[in-house]
Amino acid sequence: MPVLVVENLRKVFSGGIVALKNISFTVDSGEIYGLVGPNGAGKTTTLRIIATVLEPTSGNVYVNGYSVRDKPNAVRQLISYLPEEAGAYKYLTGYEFLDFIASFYTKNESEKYRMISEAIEISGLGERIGDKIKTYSKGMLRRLLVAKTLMVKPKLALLDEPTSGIDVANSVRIRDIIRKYAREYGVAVLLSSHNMLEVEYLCDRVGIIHNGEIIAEGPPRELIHKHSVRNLEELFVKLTGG
Amino acid sequence: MSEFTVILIKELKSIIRDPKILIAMIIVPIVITSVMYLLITQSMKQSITEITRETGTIAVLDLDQSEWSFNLINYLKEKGYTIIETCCIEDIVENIRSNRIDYGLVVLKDFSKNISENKQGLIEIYLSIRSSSMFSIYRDLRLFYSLNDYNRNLSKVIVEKYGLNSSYLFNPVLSYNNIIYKDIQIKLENPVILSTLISSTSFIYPVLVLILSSFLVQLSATSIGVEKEEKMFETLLSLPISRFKLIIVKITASILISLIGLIIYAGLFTWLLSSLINIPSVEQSVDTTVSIDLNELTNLLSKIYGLHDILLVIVCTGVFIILILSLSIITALFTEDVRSAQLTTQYLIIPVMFTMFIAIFTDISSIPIIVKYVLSIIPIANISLIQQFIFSKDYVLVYIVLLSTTIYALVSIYIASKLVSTERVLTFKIFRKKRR
Repeated sequence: MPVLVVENLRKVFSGGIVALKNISFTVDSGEIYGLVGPNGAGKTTTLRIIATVLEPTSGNVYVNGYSVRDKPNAVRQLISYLPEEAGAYKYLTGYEFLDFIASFYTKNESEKYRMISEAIEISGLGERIGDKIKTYSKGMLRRLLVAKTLMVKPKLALLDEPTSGIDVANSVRIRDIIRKYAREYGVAVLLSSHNMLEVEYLCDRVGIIHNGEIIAEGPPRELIHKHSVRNLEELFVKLTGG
Repeated sequence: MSEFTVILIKELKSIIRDPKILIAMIIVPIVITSVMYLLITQSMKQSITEITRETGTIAVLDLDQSEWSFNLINYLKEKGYTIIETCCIEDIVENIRSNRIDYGLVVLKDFSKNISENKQGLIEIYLSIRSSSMFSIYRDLRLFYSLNDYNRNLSKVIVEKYGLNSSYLFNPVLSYNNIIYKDIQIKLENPVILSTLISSTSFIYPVLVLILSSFLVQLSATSIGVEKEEKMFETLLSLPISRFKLIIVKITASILISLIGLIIYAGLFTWLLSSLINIPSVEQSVDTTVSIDLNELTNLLSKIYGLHDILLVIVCTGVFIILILSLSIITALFTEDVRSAQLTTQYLIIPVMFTMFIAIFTDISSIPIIVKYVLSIIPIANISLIQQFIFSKDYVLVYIVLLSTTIYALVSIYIASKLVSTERVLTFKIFRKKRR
């Protein structure tokens, strides 16, 4: 049974702006699914609905069988969400921030300690974890946020542009960690990205979203072969017209 | 730790570590109050000392040159004034204008003769008003106060010369004052003290509520603004915590921080107030230095406001605070950052300020009861009248205020938590930041 089921999801914002037009897809346990598309295609809206931050206009989303419409609290227990423009409390230290997030997922102190230790390793912040977040660079902050999202080993991790603002070396590291969490802990990952190389390298399947519709879906290699292009970037340009 | 405690600790850490909040809420009030204390107490003490010292230069033109005019001039010398003789009124006026002397005194002809014949002795005083400040005016008038003392002493001498009791003559009727307030009776030498005390409570309560409300709504609006500004709101909404709890924690954190601030304020305010009370007033200083005993005032107040009344005021104020905090959270939810969140607080503070000031100057005791009932259910306005309702022991009205404010507070919290549960908080913005 898939961890995530998106069924005929439609979102119309006030003013009649149609963001999503009946999209459907699934993500299995341990699978990494990439949503790619141009700006305004509906990637972030999709992630926000799954994260229970926005409400669907019609259709439904199920996480481990729980509907975001009817059981949003149950869904929140199973997901961990990294918004594209996420920040953190600048007057807390990195450690305090991780402790704050971990406290929502476990009451067990040793389990919390394990989560935080893993997050420190994922972030690669070392000694700087004890510094206030306001002293972090953009890249350091993003690494901290990716770490807080993965440390809880959710059923479903929602990562909106996970490596945005991170340098190449750290991006590679983060991708390896995402893959490790999916493979070793069975975390289902739904990520959105503009970086086609990242998607091609990391994702088991991709959904190309354009004007609120999924216009192509499948494993990257399969899609490249099917559309006779050299890579995902070419496929993206071919399908979206620019 | 419960989610409640986790968010509460985070809120407290964020607020306490934020230098903007620390400076605005703690350091600035301490500095301002301390400076106020130093300026007010020191200048008052200095001014009163100067007034009571009764010094200055008086140019005297004695046209009488006999027993009582000499007596008056000697009295002023004994009081510490420097006396110089002058030739004419024009000289006095000229010297006062050029600040060479402080006062001019002309003892008119037949001054002594009149007094001896039981008629009023006539003098003329010349003085100038050199500044608009309160103490400067008192200082300019100190010769006038000295002459009042002389008059009083002279009256005693004259009265006693005729074998009469001066206390009887000046106060032929002596009253023992009994203040009847509801079912209690208070004996007082001077009823003015009690009425002043009561009127000051009707002033202090609205002002305190206003200060407290301003302080609290700023904090709660800031705590929501911080979530938006630091881009944590979306993450927070996806965390496994109920939205209702989130709102309650925000309110609790604001109240806790405000309590700390309030204790600091109250301490400084009491310090300032007790220092001011212990400074004798100008009139008292000229006559005799009498300080007011704070315990005596407290005892008097406790006869009017019992423990039950105080508890009612505290509970009503507490519920009102929850109402105003949830309203401030509702408005702050539609903002984008701390600055705009704080700006929205003016929409709440203005009505609070308006109603509190009206309450200070309005006497509702004579208005029809039906109007009182209507007033007691109008949010914000009702709390401004709670002190008056309690003073008049209209407990039905007090409980209506309490009940209606509780309902408004619960409804506001419910609306706030429902708003957080909807996407409106992300998609609907009333107070947008100007983009360049």
